[in-house]
Amino acid sequence: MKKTILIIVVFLVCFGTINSQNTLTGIIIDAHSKIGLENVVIRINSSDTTYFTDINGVFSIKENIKDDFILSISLQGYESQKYPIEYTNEMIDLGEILLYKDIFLEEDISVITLTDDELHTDTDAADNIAGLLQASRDVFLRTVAFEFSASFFKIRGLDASNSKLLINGIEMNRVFDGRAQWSNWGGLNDVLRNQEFSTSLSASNYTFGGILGATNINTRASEQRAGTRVSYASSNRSYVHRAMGTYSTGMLKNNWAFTFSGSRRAGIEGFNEGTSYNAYSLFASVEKKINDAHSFNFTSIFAPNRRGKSSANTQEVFDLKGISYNEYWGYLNGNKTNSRIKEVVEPIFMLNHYWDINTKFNLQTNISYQLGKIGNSRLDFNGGANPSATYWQLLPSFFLINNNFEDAYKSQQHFETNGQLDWLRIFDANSTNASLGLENSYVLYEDRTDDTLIHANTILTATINEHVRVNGKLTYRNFNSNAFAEVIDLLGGNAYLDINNFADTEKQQQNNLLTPNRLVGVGDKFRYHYNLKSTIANGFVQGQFTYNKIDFYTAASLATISYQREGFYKNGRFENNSLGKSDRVNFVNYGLKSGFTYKITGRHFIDFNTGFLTKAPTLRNTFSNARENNAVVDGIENEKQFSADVSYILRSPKITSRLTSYYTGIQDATEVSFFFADGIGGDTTAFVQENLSNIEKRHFGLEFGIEIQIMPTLKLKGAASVGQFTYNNNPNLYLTSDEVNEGVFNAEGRSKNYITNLKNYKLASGPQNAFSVGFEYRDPNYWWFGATSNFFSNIYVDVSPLPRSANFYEDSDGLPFFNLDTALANKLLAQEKFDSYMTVNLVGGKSWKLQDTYISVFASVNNLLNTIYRTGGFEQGRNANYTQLKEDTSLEIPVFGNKYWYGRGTTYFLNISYSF
Amino acid sequence: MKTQSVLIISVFFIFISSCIEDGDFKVPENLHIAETTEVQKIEEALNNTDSSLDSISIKGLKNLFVRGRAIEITTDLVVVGYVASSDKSGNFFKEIFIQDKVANAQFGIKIALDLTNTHNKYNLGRKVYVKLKGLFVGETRFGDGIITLGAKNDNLVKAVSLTEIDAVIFRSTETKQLVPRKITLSEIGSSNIGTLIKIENVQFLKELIDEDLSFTDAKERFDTERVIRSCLETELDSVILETSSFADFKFAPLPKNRFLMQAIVTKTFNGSDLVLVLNAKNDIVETGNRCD
Repeated sequence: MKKTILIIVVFLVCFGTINSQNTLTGIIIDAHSKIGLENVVIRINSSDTTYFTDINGVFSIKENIKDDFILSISLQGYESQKYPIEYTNEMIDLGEILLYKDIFLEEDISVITLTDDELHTDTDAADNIAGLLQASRDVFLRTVAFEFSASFFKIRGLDASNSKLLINGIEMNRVFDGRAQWSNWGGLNDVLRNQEFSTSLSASNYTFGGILGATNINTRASEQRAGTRVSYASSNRSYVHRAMGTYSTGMLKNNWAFTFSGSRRAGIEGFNEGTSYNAYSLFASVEKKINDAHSFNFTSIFAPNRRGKSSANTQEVFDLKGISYNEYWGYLNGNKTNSRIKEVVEPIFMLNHYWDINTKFNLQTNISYQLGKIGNSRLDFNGGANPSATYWQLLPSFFLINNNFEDAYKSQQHFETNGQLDWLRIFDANSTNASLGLENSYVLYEDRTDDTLIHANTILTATINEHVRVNGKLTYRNFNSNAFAEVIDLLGGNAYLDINNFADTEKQQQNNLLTPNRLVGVGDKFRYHYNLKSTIANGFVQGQFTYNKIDFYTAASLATISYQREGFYKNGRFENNSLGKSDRVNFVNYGLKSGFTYKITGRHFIDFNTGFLTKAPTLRNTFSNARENNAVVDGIENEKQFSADVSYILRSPKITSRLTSYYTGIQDATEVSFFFADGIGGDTTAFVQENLSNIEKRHFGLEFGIEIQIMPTLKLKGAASVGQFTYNNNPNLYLTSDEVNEGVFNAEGRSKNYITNLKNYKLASGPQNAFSVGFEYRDPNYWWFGATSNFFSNIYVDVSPLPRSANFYEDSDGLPFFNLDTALANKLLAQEKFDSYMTVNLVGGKSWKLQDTYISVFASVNNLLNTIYRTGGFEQGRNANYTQLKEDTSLEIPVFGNKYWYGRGTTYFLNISYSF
Repeated sequence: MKTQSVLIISVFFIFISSCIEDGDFKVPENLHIAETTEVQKIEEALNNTDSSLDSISIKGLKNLFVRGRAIEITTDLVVVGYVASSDKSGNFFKEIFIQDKVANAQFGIKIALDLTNTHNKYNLGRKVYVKLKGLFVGETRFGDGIITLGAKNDNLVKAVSLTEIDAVIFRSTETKQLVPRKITLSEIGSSNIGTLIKIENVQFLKELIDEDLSFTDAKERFDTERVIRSCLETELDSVILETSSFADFKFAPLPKNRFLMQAIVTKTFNGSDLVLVLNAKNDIVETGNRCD
C-alpha cells in the first residue's frame, strides 16, 4: 500500500514540474471507495489561506504563486499528504489524489462497543444512533458517540426512528417500530466502516432520510481494505470477550473481490448481573466486476445474538441490592440463569448491481431478503404465584403500609440474601403438579416475531455538470411478521394450559376458542398468533447544486404504506374481531426539504436546512392490542414533522467549530403503551392499553462543538447540547382492555375518551443538556491519550399520561373525589427530575508497525469516578387516580414508585488488534 | 500470505468458540434433597424415644386453643397431617387445612400461610410435617371459631410469613388419595372443621335453581353463600356452600340436579355458621333428578 503512495507522489512530482500557470486544480478521493472527499483542507505553505474541496472532492486554487511551494492536504481520519510543487507559470491539474484512511485514527472506530450494547432493549430508551456517529468527522457528533451515549443522550431529543440507516442503499429501519435493529450486524465493525453520513436534513445520495439524517454503509468487497485483521477485546460492559477476524482480498486480477469477517462475543454477565451475552457474526461479501460499466456485489450477514436482559427497578430495590441488580436471573444447576433472553437471528442477503451508464449517469439497483426470528423469553404463571423476587407484595414497602415492621424486616433480610428468581421453587411447583397429572404452574416461553422482508430499490445518480447532481430512487418493500408465543421449556412439568386466568368466565379465559382448554408443550404456539403485513412503495427525487459561494439542495419524497393484521386465534375476550383479517389501514406520506451552505469565506460557512414531512405511524402504534384483536387505534393519522436548523461553521487551521440552532415540531403522533393500572374509573383494576393520539411535541435548542489544535500533538475538544423537549398540547387518550362491561370499559373493552394534560411536561429523552470538555494528546511515536469530563442535566422521568387525565380525579360515579385537594393533586402529578451528574472518561492507545503489519492496543475507562447516576425511568402507571397515588406517595417507601435505570459504574474496554 | 491468513483465522475461531450456558433448563438434581433429608430426620426422631422431638395429634393441638388468645408452642413438637384443601380453583386463599388421616379423618386444622397458589407446593393429599415450636394456636379473626396455626398477632394469629414457611412445613414425598368421611347434613358439626367430608342425595334450593344462579353473585366482593338441602325426607336439614369471588368457577351455573359432593367444613368469615367449601367444581357430581 505504501508503495502505491510513493508511486503517486513520484507521479505528482513529475506532474508538478510541467510548466503551468497560477491555477491549481485536482480532485481528492478516498483510496478505497474512490469517492470524492468533501471538505478536505488544502493549504499552500507560504500562505495562510485554507481551501476546501467541494462535495465531489474537487478543489481549485487561484493564487499568485511566485515560487516553488509545498501543497498540504489533510482531512481528519486520513493520512495527511504533502507535495512539493515547482513554480511554473501555467495551470496545474493534479488529477486524482488518493487519500488513505489513517490506520491509527481508524482504530478508534472499530474498538468502540456502543453499537453492541443496545442498552435497555425493551424500552423507548433504546436508542443507538450514537453508534453511527463514531466515524463522523463532526466534533459534536463524535462527542455524542463517545461521551454522551452511555447517558442515553438523544440528539435533539428525538427517537432513533428519525434517523435512517441504510446498507448498500437498502433501508434497515424496521417496519415494526421504525428503528434499526443493531443486533442484526453487531460484531462486524471491520467491514461496516465505509459509511457516508448526512446529518439532520442535509442531502444524502441514497434516501430522503429522516429529520435526524441518514447513514449509508457500503459493504462492496472491492472497497474493503485488502488484508487480514484479527482482534481480541476484553470488557466488563456488556460482553466479556470479543474476538474478531476479517480477511479481504481487494479487487483481484480476475475481477473478483472477496471479504469475509466473523466474530464472537461472549460473557457470563456484563455490568448488570445475569446479563449473559452470546453472539456470533458472520459476513461475506463477493463482488464481480463484469466490465467497466457493470459490477455485481452479493452480501450476506448472519449475526445470531442471545442476550440476557436486565430489569428497571424501583429505588427501594436499588437501595437494597445496588445498581447492578437484575431481577430476571436466578441460580439453576449452578449457573446464573436469566429468564429473559432476547434472541435475534435474522440473516440478511442482498444483491447489488452497480451500473455506470456513462460519465454522467449511474444506476444502483438493490434487492434484499431478510428472514428469521426475534424471541424474547419470559415466564408465564397462570397456575402459580408471581415468581419475581421484586413482586410488590414481597418487598418491605408492602409490609410497611400497615406498619408491620416485623415482616418488613424479615422480607428485607430475605430479599437481601436471596432476592433472585427461585428456579427451584418453579421446578418444584411444576413437578408437584406433574406428579398428580396436573398441568404446569409455570412455563418458560418466548414472544416471537418471525419476519420476512423483501426489499427492492433502484437509485439513479445523474451528474448533469460540475454544478448539478440529481438523485432519484424508487423502493418497494413487502413485510410480513408472524407473531406468536411459543413454549421453550416446561420446567419440570407435563403441559401448560393455554388460558388467561384473569378473565371471569371459562369462555373469556380462552386464548383461542377454536381449541378451548388446550394443553401445550415445548414448541407449541399459544396465547396469541397473528400476522402483520405491510406493503410500502416510495419514491424520492433530489437536486444538489454546487457553486463557488453557495451549495444548495432540494428534495421530495412520496410513499404509500398499508398495514393489515390477520388473527389466527379466536380470542375468548374478543370473539368478534380477533380471528381473520383486519381492515387494511392505508397511509400516504410525503416529504419536502431544502437547504443551503453559504460560504462566507473559505473558513466561515452558514448552513441551513428545513423540511416538512409526514410519517405513517409505525405498525407498533397502529393496532392498539394486536395480540388479542384487530382493533386499530381510533383517530390514527400521519404524524407531521417540521424541522429547521441553522449552523455557523468555522474551519480554520487551528480551530474547527460548529454552532447549530434547531427547532423540530411534531404533530399528530400516536403512541400505544401497556401496563397494569389500579384505580381506573374510580376503583377498577385492569391490564390496559393506553392509546394516545394527536400528540404534539416541540424540540428546540443549540448544539455546539469545537476542536482547537493548540499544538501539533495536543488538541482541546468541547461540545455542548442545550435543549428543551416538551409535549406541546394535551393529547387524546382512551384505554382498551380485555375487561368488558366493567367500570369505565364498555362491551368492547373500550373506555370513554379522555384528554391528558401533558402540555409542557418534559419528554423523557435522556439528558436535555449535556456538556463535554477534554483533550487528546497524539505522540509522534504512535501512542495517544485522551480524557474528557462530561456533565449532564435536565433529565426527567417518563410521565404516565393516564393520571394526567380526568380519570385522576373522577370517582366511579363520574364526579370528582369528594376529598380532592387540588394543591396536593398538583404536587402528586409533578414530574420527577433526576439529579445532574458528571462523568470522566479516559482513552488511550498505541500502535506498532512491524514490517508490513500493524499491532494496535486500545483501552478506555468509562466513568472513572464511579459516579452513580440515573439514565432514565418511568412512572409505573399503576396508581391511576388521586386516591391511589396519594396513598402510595404518602408512604415512606412507595410500593409502586417510579422505576429507574442506572448508568454503569466504572467500566473498561481493552482491545488488541493485529493487521497484515 | 493467504494460507497464513486462513490459518490464523481458523485457529482464532477455534479459540473463540467457547460456550455460554444461557439455556440449560434441565430439572435440577438437588430439587428435593434438603427437604427429604429433613423429613427423614424428623421421622427418625419421632421413632426414637430418646429424642427431644415429639409428635402431637391434630386433636391434641386443637385442644391447646384458648378462646381469645394466641397460645405459643414452646416445645419441640411436630404435627403430622394430610393436606385436605386445595386453592387450585382459587376457592381458598393463603391457607391450607390439614387433617389427621387419609381416610375418614376426624380432625383438621387450618394453617395460615402468606403463600398463594399453595396447591403447587402443598398439594391435596400430601403428607406434611409441621414443626410447631415458635408457632401459635389461635384464631385469625376473633371468634370465628376456626382454630388456626400461625404467627402471633396480638391475641390472634396471622399468616406464617413467606420467608419462614420452609422452616416450618416439611413435605413427605407421599401423596395419598384422601377418602372423605361420609356424613349426613345433620351430622356436620364443629368437630369436622378442617376435614374433607362427603354428603349424598342433596340439591341446591329450588329458588336458586329457578333463578338460574351461579356459584357466586357478581355483586359480592368476597364470598357467596348458596343453600344445599337434603333429599331424604327424614332429614330436612340444610347446609351452606360458600364460594369465593376469586374461584375460577364463580360464574358457572349451580348444578340443577340431585348430587353428591365432597368439601371442606369450615365457618363463615365471622364464625356465625358452618359452611362447606369446594376444592374444585367437579367435587360435585350429579347423580339423578331433583327430589322436589
